[in-house]
Amino acid sequence: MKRIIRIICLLSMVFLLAGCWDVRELNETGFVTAIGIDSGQSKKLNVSVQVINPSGGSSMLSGGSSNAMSTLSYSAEGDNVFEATRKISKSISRQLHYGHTVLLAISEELARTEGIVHILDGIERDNELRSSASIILTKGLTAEQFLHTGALLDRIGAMKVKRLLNNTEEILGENSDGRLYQVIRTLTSPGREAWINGFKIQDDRGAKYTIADGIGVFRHGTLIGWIDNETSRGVLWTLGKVKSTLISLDYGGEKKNIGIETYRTQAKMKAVSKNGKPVIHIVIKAQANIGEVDADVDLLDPMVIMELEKQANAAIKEEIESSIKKLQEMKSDIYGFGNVIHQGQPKLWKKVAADWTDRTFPTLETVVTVDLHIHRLGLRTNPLIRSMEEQE
Amino acid sequence: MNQSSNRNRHKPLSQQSPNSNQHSTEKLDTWQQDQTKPEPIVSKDLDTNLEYLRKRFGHSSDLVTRQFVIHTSIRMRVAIVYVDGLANQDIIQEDIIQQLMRDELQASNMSKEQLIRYITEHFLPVGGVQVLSDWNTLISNMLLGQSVLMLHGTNQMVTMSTTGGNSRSIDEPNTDVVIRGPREGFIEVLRTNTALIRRRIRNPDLWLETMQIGTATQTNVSIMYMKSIAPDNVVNEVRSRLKKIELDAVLESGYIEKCIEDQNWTPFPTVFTTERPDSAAANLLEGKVVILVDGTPFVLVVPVVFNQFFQVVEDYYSRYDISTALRILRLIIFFISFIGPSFYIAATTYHQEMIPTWLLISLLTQLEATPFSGFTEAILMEIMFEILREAGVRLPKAIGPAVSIVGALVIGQASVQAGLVSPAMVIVVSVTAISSFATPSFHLAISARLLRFVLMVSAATLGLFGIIMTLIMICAHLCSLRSFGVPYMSPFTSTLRTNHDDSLFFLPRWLTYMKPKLSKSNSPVK
Repeated sequence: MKRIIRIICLLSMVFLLAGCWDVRELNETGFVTAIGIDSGQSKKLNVSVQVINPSGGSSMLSGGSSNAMSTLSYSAEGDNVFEATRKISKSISRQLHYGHTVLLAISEELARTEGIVHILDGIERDNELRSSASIILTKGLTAEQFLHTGALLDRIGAMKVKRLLNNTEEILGENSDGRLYQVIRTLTSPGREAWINGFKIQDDRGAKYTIADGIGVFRHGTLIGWIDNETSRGVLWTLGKVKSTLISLDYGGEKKNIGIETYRTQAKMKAVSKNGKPVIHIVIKAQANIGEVDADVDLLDPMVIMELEKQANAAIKEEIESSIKKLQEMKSDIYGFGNVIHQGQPKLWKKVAADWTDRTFPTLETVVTVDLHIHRLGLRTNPLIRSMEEQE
Repeated sequence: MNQSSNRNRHKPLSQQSPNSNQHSTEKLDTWQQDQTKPEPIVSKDLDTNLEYLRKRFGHSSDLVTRQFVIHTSIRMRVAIVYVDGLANQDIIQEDIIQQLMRDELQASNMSKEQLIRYITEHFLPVGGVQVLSDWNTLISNMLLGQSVLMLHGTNQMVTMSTTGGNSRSIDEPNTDVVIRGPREGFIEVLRTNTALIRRRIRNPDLWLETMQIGTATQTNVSIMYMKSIAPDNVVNEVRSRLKKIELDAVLESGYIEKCIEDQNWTPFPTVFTTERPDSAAANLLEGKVVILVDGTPFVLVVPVVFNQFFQVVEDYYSRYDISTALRILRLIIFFISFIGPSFYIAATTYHQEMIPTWLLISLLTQLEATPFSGFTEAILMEIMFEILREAGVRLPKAIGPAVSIVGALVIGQASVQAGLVSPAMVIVVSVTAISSFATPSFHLAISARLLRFVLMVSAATLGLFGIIMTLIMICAHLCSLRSFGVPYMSPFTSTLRTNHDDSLFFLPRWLTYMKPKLSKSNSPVK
């Protein structure tokens, strides 16, 4: 009995001595949804955070049309990210919690001049911040401005950006949700360069909104240029990040009168050695539906479908090849071809690693094979035009 | 058996208990002193005997002594003595007194002893008849409802089993309610309860042993088991533990339960209680021992394993897939009722990163206006709910709904509108409360109810780490428990497939080819 009492006393001491040391009530915490990093005026960096404003959110919940912002932005300067985030506490009454950060915005200017390598260490080291946060570049404006404007446009600006990225990745394939850990991985592995989505603010008759605009291409952690539209899609095809997209084909002499929708795409890269030089084989496999037909064509004819497939293959191949050419000009291997060689042909990689970026990559030979199959025609079989002509 | 139960004309709800709580302690003491004194021998004089009995009963008004005369060659004075309310008056009047008074006994030249034999053989149309000449047995028989026939001039007396009196009629049990299944429940009369079980297992292999426990109350306690299925060591253990009980009073099976438990220092029940004869019968057929106590509808089943508290008799009456799904659901329910509020506390005060962002945002807006910390809020609401529950159980049925309305308004709406607690906390507390009601065994739910507070404290001080530590401790404790030598967590820890057929999952009968290892015989199930 005495022993039991003693044990109970000891056990209760566990609870009392622990003293709730890291207890943090929800209403005493500021939840950061986005971090923005710019170059600072007096110090090296200017870090801004977008914090959820609970009282602003409540008016949203109850459906009231209050103008209260659901997020607020604070910023502070510091010589490194860590210092700056601590400085922010001067201006905010709550302890910041970075566990819900979904967006890391870096200004284009900072990425171009300073590079991103030395910023990311402090961010990744922090145990609260998730490395699955999306990372973006703000094009033509500072990250602080971006966070400020973003807050006005959507309930939680950062969440909007993330959703938008997911959405465009799902259906357009010109941008892909780039995560922090992916960027860090590309920065740390050999024969690979980083790429980050660009965002800008569009002013449409007074209404401002954020739109995704191109992909920022890095070389050795520094922004060197932008790629857009077909080029960026060409890159994402190669990386296997295109989930679904649409391809316009010409048929019967008319321009872009057939649209097909691809899905279930797969990309494989393989490095082979040819005469002591690396060659990259890229194989794209995809399935497709007919999305839209604006031509008099008999879709029930398998020969027509085969013809369309051939055209689509050529179109995708063309897209990829031209994107590779463009990036070879920019001298940035964001495809990770070097990494493929490193993994597939390690001996060869040792030879080419030293001047990979400057010499080998820009002249690298690639072989692109596209294997696309049209599986379905959609709810309609033959095009509307054709049926109308038959009636006449 | 059948005869006696037919004779017992059950009148609904005019229940009276012979063991009512009205003895003053003083009286108990003197009674016990009497017990130790040597009993005076039975006299041959009828009046002395009657006087002795009246004195023993303190001239209680429910002791009926009916004197009359039977006609043999000589007129002989006799008396029938019984305790009013315990004995069945109809039998006494119609079958005994009438019988004896009406006819002239053709018994001349008989000694008194011979006469008694003659009477018992020819004139007493009653089931159990015993000739006695010892006060102790006689009095205890009378207190069981038997009546005594005394003859003047002999020290031998005849006790006749005329047990009767009013009791509640067999009714649907209030606990263990099922949708499909028999509607009968145990009642307060031991004999009826044993009959209810026997009616389900018509087999001489079902053995019944009865003993009296409680020096003051002399309560009948029976153990029932299937001789060929129940392991002998368990039966012996039950018997010896029951024999060791030294209690003044046994007013409910809970008294026995506390005395025969393997481990008293545990919040978990190691004895299964049920109000359903079909559940008791099923347990008997699994090789368990059923302990019935007179005066309560709750019978005890030992040994029991943790898993059994998640099983409901209805599982066996429903289809296998549904039963299995429901069992898993019940386990989930139990966990919710166990860790519901503590998990909420831990997540909101320590592990905010675990909460999905959109949920966090809506939680933030709710918590913005609340003055208390998560833990205080949770404790406040839990205590409020416990008050309501306790009040609801004890309240007269007429006022019950009023309290539940007030409770619903106070807990549900007013406290949120007044800004005392957050709506999310109300949801958590109500889900927990509903879960604790959905746990099939009340006894298990009540232990979860207690441990919930421990978990809440550990969640408030150490977060999820605290919850896990406490759960590990509880798990270790559960594994250390035994119920009559059977490990409490046994079906889960066993590697034998046969033990899992009817544990968490409920396999169809054609897949379960062996009885659970708990039982003595490994005979295949038919």
